[in-house]
Amino acid sequence: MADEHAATQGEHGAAGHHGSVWPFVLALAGGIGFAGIITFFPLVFVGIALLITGLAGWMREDASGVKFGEITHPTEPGIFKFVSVRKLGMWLFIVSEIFFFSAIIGNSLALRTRAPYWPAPGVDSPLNIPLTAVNTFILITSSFTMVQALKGIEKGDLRLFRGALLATLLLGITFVSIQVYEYNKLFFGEHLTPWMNTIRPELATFGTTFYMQTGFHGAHVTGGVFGLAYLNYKAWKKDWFTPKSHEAVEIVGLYWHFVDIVWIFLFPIVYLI
Amino acid sequence: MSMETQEEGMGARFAKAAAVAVKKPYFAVFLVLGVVTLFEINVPSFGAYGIPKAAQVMMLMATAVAKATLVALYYMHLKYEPLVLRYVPLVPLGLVAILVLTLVVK
Repeated sequence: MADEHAATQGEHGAAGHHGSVWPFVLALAGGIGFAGIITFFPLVFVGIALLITGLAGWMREDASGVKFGEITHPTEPGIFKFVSVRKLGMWLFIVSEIFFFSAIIGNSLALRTRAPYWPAPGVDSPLNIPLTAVNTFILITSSFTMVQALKGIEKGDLRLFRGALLATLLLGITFVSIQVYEYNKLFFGEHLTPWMNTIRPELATFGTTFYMQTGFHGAHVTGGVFGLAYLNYKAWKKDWFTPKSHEAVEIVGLYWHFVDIVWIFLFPIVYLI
Repeated sequence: MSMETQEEGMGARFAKAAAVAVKKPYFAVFLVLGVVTLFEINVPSFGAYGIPKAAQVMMLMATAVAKATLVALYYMHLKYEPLVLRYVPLVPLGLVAILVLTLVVK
């Protein structure tokens, strides 16, 4: 095992070490930001500032042309030796996200199953199901275009790759825009707020669970949109991605499909049940 | 196993994965996701035909699990990944089930 690891080290080479400090800065930003939510709120802004710095630094480093290896590069010794370390990293991140969303959805279901009426006695759901159904189709379509982009770059079809990637970005922006429109209608039109308001206090619990679930999902989609925008920026630069070196496309795709999966559960739970 | 043999083994493994990649049924999955979503949207109206709410909830959860499985297997390529990677997202699902049941069951 030591030999295998030494061989891997040798290929990367000490001089060609591709480690980056920016993921650590992002993790620190997340830790400080979330700690701020439950302890001292101004820390949230420190977290946001660190987040922006970390993202900018990482993108700048990446855009400067640092080589991160090819897609088929063997990675860790042991059971994961056939799995790219970056892909494994994204999957572990997705695992943490599964716990995150499960806790949010589980808590909302706990409140809902204990409530005698939902959303409130004698009140119909103020949610716009047809509009959200359209948004659901948009997200599903964006998952399809994302895999088409991957298929395109795998085959060396740059036209398909760039077109599908751009379509994914535009569909993502459309999803977020429709959600903003929906929030605007619900907040100001239906007086559905994340907190108790004096106009419709009976919707307080419903509003809290609704905004918590869809808001965190929307924030993740927004993050994905930024990722896709950066990927598009790189895709339209000549020869940046090639059939042999395009792992970033697959990894951003994994995240995007995960966001789609979360919506696959949220849509029926929040809107249809 | 020598390094050369091991590298060749890895190469063959990745080549096999690449060969499988061209057969991925992306459009068929997209169609199924769309049709199942159309079905889901209509489930709330099943109450008018005497189908109880509990049955509707079961239907919606079953279709959601089926859709998520399709996305994970085909769009996230778990079907074509080494077995060990498939366990990475599968293992925590058991813990998630415990968490959600603990929260939901009165």
